[in-house]
Amino acid sequence: MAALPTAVQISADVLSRKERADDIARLKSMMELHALEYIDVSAHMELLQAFERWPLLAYLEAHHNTPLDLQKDAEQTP
Amino acid sequence: MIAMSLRGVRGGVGTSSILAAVGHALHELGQKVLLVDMCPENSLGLHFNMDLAPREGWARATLDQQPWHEHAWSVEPGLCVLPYGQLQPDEFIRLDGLLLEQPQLWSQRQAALADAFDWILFDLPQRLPGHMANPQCSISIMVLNADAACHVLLQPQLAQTPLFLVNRFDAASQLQRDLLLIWQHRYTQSLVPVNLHADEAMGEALARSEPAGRYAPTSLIALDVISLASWCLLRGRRAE
Repeated sequence: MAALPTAVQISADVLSRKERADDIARLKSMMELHALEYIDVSAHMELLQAFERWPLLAYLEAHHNTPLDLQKDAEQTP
Repeated sequence: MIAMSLRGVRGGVGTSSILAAVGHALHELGQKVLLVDMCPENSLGLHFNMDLAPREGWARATLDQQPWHEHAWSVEPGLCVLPYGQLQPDEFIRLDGLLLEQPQLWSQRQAALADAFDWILFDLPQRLPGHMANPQCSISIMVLNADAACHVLLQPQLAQTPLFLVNRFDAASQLQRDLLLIWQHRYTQSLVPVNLHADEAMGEALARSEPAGRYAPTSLIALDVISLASWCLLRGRRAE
């Protein structure tokens, strides 16, 4: 896979591998909007709709110990 | 030598068919493969045009205190199947107790086979704890279908078998897409990153006594299984 030229070159050392593969993380870095709290609304909505469609899945989900993190990026940067 | 086991989260999810197909695919990729039937149904060999429920096998030999390794069938050079053998219900329950008493039994056998094979694949049964726990495997995979019953059964069994593989996936099904979405979010680390699609060729292959990759090499399921075998090779190298 070839690297696409970007107006602002991001050093590979600065971002983790996951962030390099994550378009949103790249955009935040390029725009220097590090504090931006981005939530992947479409993924969030799809999961919510799945639980709405199938009550048994929602019931089982409620029985899990840890609630499902619906935010896209669960990893917090230090 | 890498040992891998497959076990269905419940019966009927297609575990033996996958095991036969993956064994065949690994062999096609140049690996020496032994498939071991750990199920009293004794029917794994049907995927390779062997007899139905052969009398002799490792379990029969173990109970009879006979050499267990003399009953393997060679499908082709570098691809062998070791049947279970015929046991009555009281006999396989007795053998299960024996396997619980001797937890090292299969790991000793695996060590003895290490020079002859690159892979040993175990087809594990349901509800026989001695059979399920005895082989020492660096890759243990639970097989399930994307349905609500498997979803119910998945969570309690993940502690025991932390990897799971989706079989008979139908992307046209809203429920299956939703379940996969939930699993991808909740069990990111546990989900084998290859989904095996629902494909008529898988069922037809058994009806022809062949693994899927030999019966229909260009079918969707055969390509899925090659992807799975390639993932196994990468994962196995990491595990060794």
